[in-house]
Amino acid sequence: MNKRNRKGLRRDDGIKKKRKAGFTRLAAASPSRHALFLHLSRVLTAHELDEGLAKLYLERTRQVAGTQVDDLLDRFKSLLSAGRDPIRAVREDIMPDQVLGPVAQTILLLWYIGGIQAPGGGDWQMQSADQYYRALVWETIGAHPPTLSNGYFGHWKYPPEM
Amino acid sequence: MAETSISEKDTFDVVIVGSGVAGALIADVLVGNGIRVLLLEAGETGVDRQAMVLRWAQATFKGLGTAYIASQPSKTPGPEQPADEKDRRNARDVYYDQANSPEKYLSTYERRVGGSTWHWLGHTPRLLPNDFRMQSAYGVGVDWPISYSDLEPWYCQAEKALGVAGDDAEWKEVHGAFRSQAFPMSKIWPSWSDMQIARKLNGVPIAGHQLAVLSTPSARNSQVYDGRPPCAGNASCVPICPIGAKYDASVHVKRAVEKHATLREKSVVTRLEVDADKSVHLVHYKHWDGKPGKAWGRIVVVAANAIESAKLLLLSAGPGADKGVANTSGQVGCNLMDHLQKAVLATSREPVFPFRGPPSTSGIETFRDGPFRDRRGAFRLSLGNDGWGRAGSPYNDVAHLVRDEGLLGEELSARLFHDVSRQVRISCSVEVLPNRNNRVTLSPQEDSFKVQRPAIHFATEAYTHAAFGPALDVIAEILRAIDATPIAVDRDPLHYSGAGHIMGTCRMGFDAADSVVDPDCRSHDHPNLYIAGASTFPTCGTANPTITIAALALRAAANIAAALPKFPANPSEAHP
Repeated sequence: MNKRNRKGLRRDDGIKKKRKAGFTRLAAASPSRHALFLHLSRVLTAHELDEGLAKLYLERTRQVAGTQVDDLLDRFKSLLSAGRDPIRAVREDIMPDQVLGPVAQTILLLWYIGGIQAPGGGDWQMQSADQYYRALVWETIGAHPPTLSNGYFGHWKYPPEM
Repeated sequence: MAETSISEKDTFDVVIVGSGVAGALIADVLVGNGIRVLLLEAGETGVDRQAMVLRWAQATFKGLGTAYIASQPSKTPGPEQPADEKDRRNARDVYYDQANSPEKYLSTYERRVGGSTWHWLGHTPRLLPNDFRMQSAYGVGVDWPISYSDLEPWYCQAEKALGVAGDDAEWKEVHGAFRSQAFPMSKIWPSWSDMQIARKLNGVPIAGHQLAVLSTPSARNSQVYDGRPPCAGNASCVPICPIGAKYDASVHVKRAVEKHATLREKSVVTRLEVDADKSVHLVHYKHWDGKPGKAWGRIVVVAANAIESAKLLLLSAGPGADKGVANTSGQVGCNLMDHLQKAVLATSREPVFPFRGPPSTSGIETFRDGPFRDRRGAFRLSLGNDGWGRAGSPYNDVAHLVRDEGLLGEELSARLFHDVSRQVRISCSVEVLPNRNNRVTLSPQEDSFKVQRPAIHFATEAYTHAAFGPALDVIAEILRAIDATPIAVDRDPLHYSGAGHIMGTCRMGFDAADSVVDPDCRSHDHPNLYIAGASTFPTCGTANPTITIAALALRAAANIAAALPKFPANPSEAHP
């Protein structure tokens, strides 16, 4: 236990205070963006999602939507701060928004498909085999990504276990 | 003659052009008999299977050839192998010259060690007895110079060689196609979807028939076979089996090489040379690195698929073969065939759980033969396990529900499962008659390897068109019986997909004036030249061709081994 100095503070309080201020600053910067993106993604998909994949997907979404992603995350954050139920808030305030709604849809589709489609349609731009395999669509339909079934011979004879 | 400049290392008993299923099987049989074999392959072995799978998984454009893009695509240009990356989507149209073709020939192949069996589905139904005698039975097409009975023992051997899984009771005698031996393996289990369809069709006559849903014989392991694992339902047979449960010809290439066959890959054969005595011994090729090569064989086998084989024979026109090698009949390149397919997509009332298992595990063989064949083509029906995958599902389904219906969260996942689990596909595959105007010739344009490209002229006939209507009618009745609703059906007989079944162009026959090879698959014109593969098919029925290719290849290998002693042992003996 530390003796108090003349200001009444314990000797290591100053260091703790500096560290705490530093952590708070960090929390206000990129981890918060990632955390928000992950939270929003979980609301959009109703799935538990991987943080590492979320980081990649935040980057990918930024590549196509630029600063609109941060606008979306800011809006989401402010809705949360106002104490709104996340799912209702997304449905009522974000999806109908002309600008933010499509960005949210891009994120949702990215989690489901592992790819991003150009505005005119066409191919789903893939980035990696890992993202292809982790796309949510396959487990959702009771199947698996082609080339990786993890199944036994004949499993297709039975309905999927879900 | 350049024969005295051929070294011993380039002298072989048998030189085989092409390491697809035909060439690989022949090499394996011959080398097992102590025969010195050279396998020449234009393509490469490439990277290992897992690397190919990952390449496909990460690809944005997932075409048939995506996993198989060569390390130097410009060295083996082909319909799945664009010289330029920008052409990946339309490699076929860049390679085939179809400027003068009424319809586009749609089917493609791979130019690599093991050939197109890398990307095939793996189905191995045999041709039917009447497929071999279309002229005698129905007054259309031509008769093969061999019968189903002649080929039957070889079908059994081929099924053993490839490892075919099938149901003996179901396939005892379909349209007279008797079986003298059991399938090497028990069947690939039909899917849940197949079984629901079969159950609902039971006792319901369709087009006057009680339809039987039969498991489709396949070169796909239902147990460990030949050191390869059983199918795990990775649902990616086309274009690649990640575990080798589906047969591909690299199996026999590898086995032949282990038994000391010589494989020279990256060797594009450009010319066959005809000697004064009409023999074809010398094979000229060009390596990827540009160096010319040649090989001398006592016997030469051309097994490069129906398009490349015909192309090579025509390219080799010269003294002693003014219309091309093996072409006094003028039939080389002619009678090009394919199976033409239409898919009907439907929504079932009950879930059927697609996207699981091989893309198709069952079919309906009822309409593959019958009296109607005197006026219209036969068809085979296959039941799909891949939902509407051919139309962009399931990605399109997610996109639709998100963008058009505004769904998210649990609502989205519930709807997605509900909708996709009810996707059904039933396809028909229709026969094409041989027509000498459907042909492969040489384009004046060269490919990226500076070899003339194949020019194709292809047009379908009334005989084939007239089969689509009845086929779609049967499918419609089936869907009604199983309580499924089709989405948009395209009845236009000119809108079809190719099956990947490239057949005809070097047909078998008794008459040298009208065919390219004799019943032994030996050229009428050149005593020591054999042609193997689907190029030798005089007609095509409605069967996927590979098991017939394999049966003919094993039979030809036996013929070749027996004929070998007749031919000079080396170049000096050939030209004393």
